[in-house]
Amino acid sequence: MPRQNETALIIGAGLQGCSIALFLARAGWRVTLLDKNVAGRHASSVNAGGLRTLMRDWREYPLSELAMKHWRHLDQLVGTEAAESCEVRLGVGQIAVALDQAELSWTLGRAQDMERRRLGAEELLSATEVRKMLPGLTDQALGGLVSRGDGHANPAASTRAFRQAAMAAGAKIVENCRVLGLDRLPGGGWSVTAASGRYEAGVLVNCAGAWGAQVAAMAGQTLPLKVVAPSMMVTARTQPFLEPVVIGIDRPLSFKQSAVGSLVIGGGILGKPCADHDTSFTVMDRMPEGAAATLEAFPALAHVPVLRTWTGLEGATPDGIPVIGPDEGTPDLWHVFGFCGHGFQLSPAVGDVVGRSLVGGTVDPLLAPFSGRRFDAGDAA
Amino acid sequence: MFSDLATLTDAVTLSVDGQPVKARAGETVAACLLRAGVPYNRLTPVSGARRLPYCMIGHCFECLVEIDGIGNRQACLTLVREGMKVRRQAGAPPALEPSVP
Amino acid sequence: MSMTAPLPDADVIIIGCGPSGMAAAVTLAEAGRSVIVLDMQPAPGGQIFRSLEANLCDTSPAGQSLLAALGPAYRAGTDLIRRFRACAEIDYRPQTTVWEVRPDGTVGWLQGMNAGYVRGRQVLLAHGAMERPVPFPGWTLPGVMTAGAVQTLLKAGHLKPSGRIVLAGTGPLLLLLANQLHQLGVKPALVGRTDRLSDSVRASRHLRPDGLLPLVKGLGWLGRLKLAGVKSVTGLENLAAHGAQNVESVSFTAGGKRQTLPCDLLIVHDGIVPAIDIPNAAGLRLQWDGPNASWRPATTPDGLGASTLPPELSAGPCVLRVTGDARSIGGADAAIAHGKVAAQAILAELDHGAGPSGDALRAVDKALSVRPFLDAAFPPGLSQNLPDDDTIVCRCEELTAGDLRAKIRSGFRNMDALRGESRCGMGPCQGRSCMVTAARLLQDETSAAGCPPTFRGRPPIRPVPLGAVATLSGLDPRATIRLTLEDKPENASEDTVNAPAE
Repeated sequence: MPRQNETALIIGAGLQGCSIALFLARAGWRVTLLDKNVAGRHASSVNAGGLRTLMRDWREYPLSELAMKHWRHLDQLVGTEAAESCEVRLGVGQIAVALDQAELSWTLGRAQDMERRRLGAEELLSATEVRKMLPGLTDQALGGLVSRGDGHANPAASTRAFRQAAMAAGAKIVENCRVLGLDRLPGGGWSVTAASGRYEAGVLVNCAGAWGAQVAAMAGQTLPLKVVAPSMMVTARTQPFLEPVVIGIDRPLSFKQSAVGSLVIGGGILGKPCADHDTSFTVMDRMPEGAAATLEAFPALAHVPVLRTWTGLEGATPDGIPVIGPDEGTPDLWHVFGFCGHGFQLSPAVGDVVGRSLVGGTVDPLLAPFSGRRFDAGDAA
Repeated sequence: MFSDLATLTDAVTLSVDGQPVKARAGETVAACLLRAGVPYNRLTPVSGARRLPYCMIGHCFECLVEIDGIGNRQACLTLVREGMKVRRQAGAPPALEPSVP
Repeated sequence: MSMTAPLPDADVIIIGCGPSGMAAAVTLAEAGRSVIVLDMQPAPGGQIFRSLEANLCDTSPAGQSLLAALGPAYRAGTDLIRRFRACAEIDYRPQTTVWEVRPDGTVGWLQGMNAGYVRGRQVLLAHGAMERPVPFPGWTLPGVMTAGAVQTLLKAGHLKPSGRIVLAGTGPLLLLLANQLHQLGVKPALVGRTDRLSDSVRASRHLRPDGLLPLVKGLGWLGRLKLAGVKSVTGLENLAAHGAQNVESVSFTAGGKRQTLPCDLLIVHDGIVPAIDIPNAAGLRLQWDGPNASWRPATTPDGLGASTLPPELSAGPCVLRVTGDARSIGGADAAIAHGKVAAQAILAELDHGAGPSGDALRAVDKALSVRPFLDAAFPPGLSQNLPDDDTIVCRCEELTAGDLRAKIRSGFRNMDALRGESRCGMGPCQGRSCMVTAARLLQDETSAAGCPPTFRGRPPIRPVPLGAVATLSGLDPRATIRLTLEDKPENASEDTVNAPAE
């Protein structure tokens, strides 16, 4: 591929990569996605599919609200049929439950904090209100925080939808193509040596997820990233009883009832990541904590059988929010990774804002908090 | 579909959907229900189709019933007990409250 | 919190208490080793000797006629069960399911509402076989059961089938059951065999002197059924069960003619295959047995399995052995013989001893010598052809072969993607009934050869109540270090609200 303006190579064809590719391709750019495996093999397809602004770090909030707009009008991004396949359910709400005094105080502080920042649609719930919204919730619950517009979607279908839309817009996806080396071209732009050949483009976007820091290192850039394997438990089908997604505040609690009735229980319990082997393992020894947290909130679920567990590979930064932006000195190399287990909801906004920034040649102010420079020595969070 | 080799002696009594049913001591709930001639153990959560035990050795999970308030129990692996309360399942069992017969 | 590895709970953990598990347990216990035996069933014996202890105590006429019908092969387990019961060193845990096995010897168990881990320095998988899944139209209807299920009801429920009974399929168990029913006064309407005379002729070249006895036995069964006037066909094909709510009739093709019979109970059997749920989830390498259309664990002659985990991901050498029908279908005698071999190999491992004796290894070979004949005489029949599009493959999620073919054609071309997209294998049986058919469909659609891929088996491979997960015992302290993805944002205090970052 000859190097020219308005060309981009994206390493990693997960949800973020495909979303960026979609926006760039629609703006007329020539985009090629390289994936060492198949598109959406890891965190993109095997997350819990949460669409939440609730409890977002305030720095992510504006991006998250923009993303919600896109999720509400997903058909405009990926087409009507594909949008339907994504099973977007907004408006069922996500609720953080306060089960002790410390958690209740945190919700009060959070509400004040968000109000001062003029952010968000989180509402405090009284003990009575939260119990009314969550059948089966323990009498011990003291209150909660709800974001009524939140919901969930099908992550695997959504990843496919963005991939298809990006391709329909003209992006090329090369799968089973591991990146072996990156070289800065004289005069700007990048050359990528990959398993299936060499690629060149004016802009390189690192969307390599759990492998993001490895790719950055190929360009001589050091970014802090821990590879983690968030894991989930799934139960047998049960009668529908719960619409909102429930999340914990200081405990590893997060669950929802799926469309078929099974309970999908997460909460940040980590499995064993094996990024070098492109896989990860659930660790049942750690599941008791998640199960106990679930039962503390919903004691009547003790008899529901857990049928399986799963896990996927994800990258986590030290301060819990992603790296999104160009590295210092290399405005044509962008890093977009480290979403810490909550990048699914953000993805359409990431594509939108990163695409807009690349096309316009300036970093959008929405991305200011996500610069990798925040980790520079002495300045770490 | 099944009949006893000999009249039941040493019987225990279970409640099946609220009705008293005799069982041989030491047999499984699945055997007891087949003797009683129930037309199904469960209606599937997907289509509501009827299912009876298929493999009887714990592999197929077709024999699932609610036992003493707890749903999705394998009837072929659970031994009968005097006073046991068995309910056949209609679709997915409730998540929250074990239903009381 | 201690960071050392948990101590083993026993020298050896044996999963399954059938012929091979009991033989191994007795051998190990008599050599002074501590043994834990975990078994799903309430009493020792496995499927073949199920309820034997209880039935031996039943002196009623009905009990005696049941024992007579079940025959000497059933009573042959008496001595082994007595020796097993007599070993005080064996920690026998009945009604216990196993939901995880790790190559390092860690075993997850569930008993009632309690679950936990136990650890053995060595682990022996003796969990046996299952009947080959046979998707055909109508196989989910009430009134369709496997031959093994009916035999279980005889042995443990003292129930005999009644009404219009059709047996269909192949294999020794089908003929044995038909004879047992006949002896109990039950006359099937039809015994329909998928095997043909040509199979037997082809099989005869595999006959060894040791195989003559089973052959004579089989001919005896056939002769008695014929004498009793039980209608039979061979070369049965295209079996289907019909009925609105339960089986009302069956239809099939034999001799080029389509036939329909009224039927209350359709008993099917297509041979037995090693149960690979535990080996697959434990990450043991599997082999494909083409003629038998089934997987089996790849093992050394003394049963040692091979972990598929790369060495850097393994906590040490693989200490899992597989024995009995779980390793290779051979029946009770072969299982007992191999259980002893596996036990001797384990003793050698624990004591740096000599390993299985030549006699013990020869006993396995002798017991298995009839298998090539049986495999050739009773090839898979009901499951030979892949099911039509309308036939249910995944009983739990009610997915048809057509559903799966469509997903494969639309790009879900590996087992886990197919499962995730279709829900095939996600129901309560966790893929036990559908996996082999899904794998064969995938290979067929993608024109792939070699060992068909399996679903990835992640724990738990059997349902564990959430309450039991919450209170799991025997955790590895090295694995339980609190590791969660922290997600809760810090609330800023008022004076830092406008600061650029926390």
